[in-house]
Amino acid sequence: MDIFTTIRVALWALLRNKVRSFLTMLGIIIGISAVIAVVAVGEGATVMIKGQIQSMGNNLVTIFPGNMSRGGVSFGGGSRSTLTASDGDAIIRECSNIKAITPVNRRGAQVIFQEKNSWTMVMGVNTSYLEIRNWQMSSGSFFQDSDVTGATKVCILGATVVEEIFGVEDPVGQIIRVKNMPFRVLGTLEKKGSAAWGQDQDDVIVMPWTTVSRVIQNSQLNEVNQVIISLTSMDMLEKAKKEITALLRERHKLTPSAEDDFSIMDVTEVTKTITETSRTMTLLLGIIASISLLVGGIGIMNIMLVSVTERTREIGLRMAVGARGKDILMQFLVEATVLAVIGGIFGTTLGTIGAKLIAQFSNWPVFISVNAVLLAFVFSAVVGVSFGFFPAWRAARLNPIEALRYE
Amino acid sequence: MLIKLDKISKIYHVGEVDIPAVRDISLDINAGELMAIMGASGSGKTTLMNIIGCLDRPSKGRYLLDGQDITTMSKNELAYVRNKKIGFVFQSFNLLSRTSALENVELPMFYGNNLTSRQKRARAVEVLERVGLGQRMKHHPSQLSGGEQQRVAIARSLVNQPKILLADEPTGNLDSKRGKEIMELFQQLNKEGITIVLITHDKDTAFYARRVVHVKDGLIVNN
Repeated sequence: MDIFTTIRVALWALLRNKVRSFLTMLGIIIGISAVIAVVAVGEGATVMIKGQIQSMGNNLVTIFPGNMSRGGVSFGGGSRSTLTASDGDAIIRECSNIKAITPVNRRGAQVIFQEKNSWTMVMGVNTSYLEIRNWQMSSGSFFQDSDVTGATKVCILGATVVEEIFGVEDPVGQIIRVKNMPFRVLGTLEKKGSAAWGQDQDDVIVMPWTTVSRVIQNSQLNEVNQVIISLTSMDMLEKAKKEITALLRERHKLTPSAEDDFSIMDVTEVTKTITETSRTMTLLLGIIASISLLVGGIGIMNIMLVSVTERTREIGLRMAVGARGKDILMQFLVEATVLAVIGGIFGTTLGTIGAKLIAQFSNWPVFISVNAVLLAFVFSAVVGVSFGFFPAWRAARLNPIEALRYE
Repeated sequence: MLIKLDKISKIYHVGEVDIPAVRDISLDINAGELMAIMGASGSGKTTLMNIIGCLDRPSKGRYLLDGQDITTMSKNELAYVRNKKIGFVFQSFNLLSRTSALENVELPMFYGNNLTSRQKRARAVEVLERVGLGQRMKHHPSQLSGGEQQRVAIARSLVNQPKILLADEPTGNLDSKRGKEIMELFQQLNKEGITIVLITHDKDTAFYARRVVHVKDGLIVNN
């Protein structure tokens, strides 16, 4: 019997018991669709997180002041302002592998345009900021070095701020009020979306860091909240961190026994943690889904055993008219496999639709990879063959004389 | 000589005890014969039929079918011989349910040959017409009478043009009128040149045979 005839006979046998075949398939359908949907959501999350981390900027390292501890109690990063803009200047002057650097002075403030207002984050930075954050202008232009030196009252608006206080109106060239002082809008930023931890990155206005210090905070000090550094390459991370630490310790005149009065944070750790967490989740869910697939396989085995018993006389007859054990084995094996693969096709379709629905209704990103689909497909065939083998083998081993007499 | 059984024995081992079902039977069957093997249940006639039908191998002795020694063949070779040279007709018809008469008849052609589906169909139609079921080929067994079902089974046994047709109590499940019709069909087929061996305990059935062999306690009583 050739393989096409065998498949045809298998389909015919399955169609003879439509309800039973469908119920048996259901195990595989649920298993495969669960695998597909779970992997799609998991991979979608990974892709999204990677994208968000990418959106934070290129090869970022952030230095926070403080990290002071007294009597064994750590106050954490930022608990004391010891970091200055000149530290930043020193770093780019003396350390290697630094592409760009910017001090950051952050402050919440109310911004007003005509009768509309919004509470937002004011970011004081220098002209390297866009390059470091991997950010583009949407309209207008960024401020110049002269604006930094002169602490001029200019600003660039994030997309959310534009939406809230300008709506459809073009903000470039307009004057807005921050802390009741007039600021000229030089340009607007491209929309960046939310960060990995859910914060809206577009709810921001950007201006020279000196403006934030001198004008908004009314301070003559050079202290800043952070220094953000963009490295030439992430491979140089450890080396750069060491150099920066040594330099800052020297500049801050720390004794060898004293703890660092600053802390250095880089995104690789965050990236690693987040991707590992999401991978673990995917793996876990995948295992659960695989178990349901296993249960589906057992269902197939069960129903095939019933089918073999039920069709003992048919098997005897087929043997009497010339079927070899091999032919009978193939027949039942193909039947189990066809069952599993059809289940796999339905399951893949259902899983894909499910993933798309999840994406639509919960705003979760999903990513259906071709690999996952192929894998699910192959997996269902493997389930069919492996769980179909035992029943098929039992059928092939039947003695035709006894099988023909079976009641 | 189509079939030559030479001192055939079949011994079943039940626990420690050996039970001989067939003992030293020698039997020749010529091509074109219509013969009956008669005996009560437990006489060994079914075992004899299984051996002649290549479903079972003898424990002792030699069996030549159409000049081939069956005794030494493997299971797969036996399956091939059954497919090509032997047609079976059973008491309980053994048709596949929910399957048309035509497809039932096509079944033996699925194994061991390379006919196209068109050729298979043509052959199946031909034998169904030969047994007088040309009008009911698309019917399923449940839509056919007992006599008609047995005709489908006979058509199925003929479809691979076997050397010999083995019928095990072919009228056992039929009323006497249908039984008579089936026996007349066998006579008809025999006249057309097919060798037929009937296995029965029923005198009325054996009546149609030109030669009757009586089996008792695993031995041939008269020939």
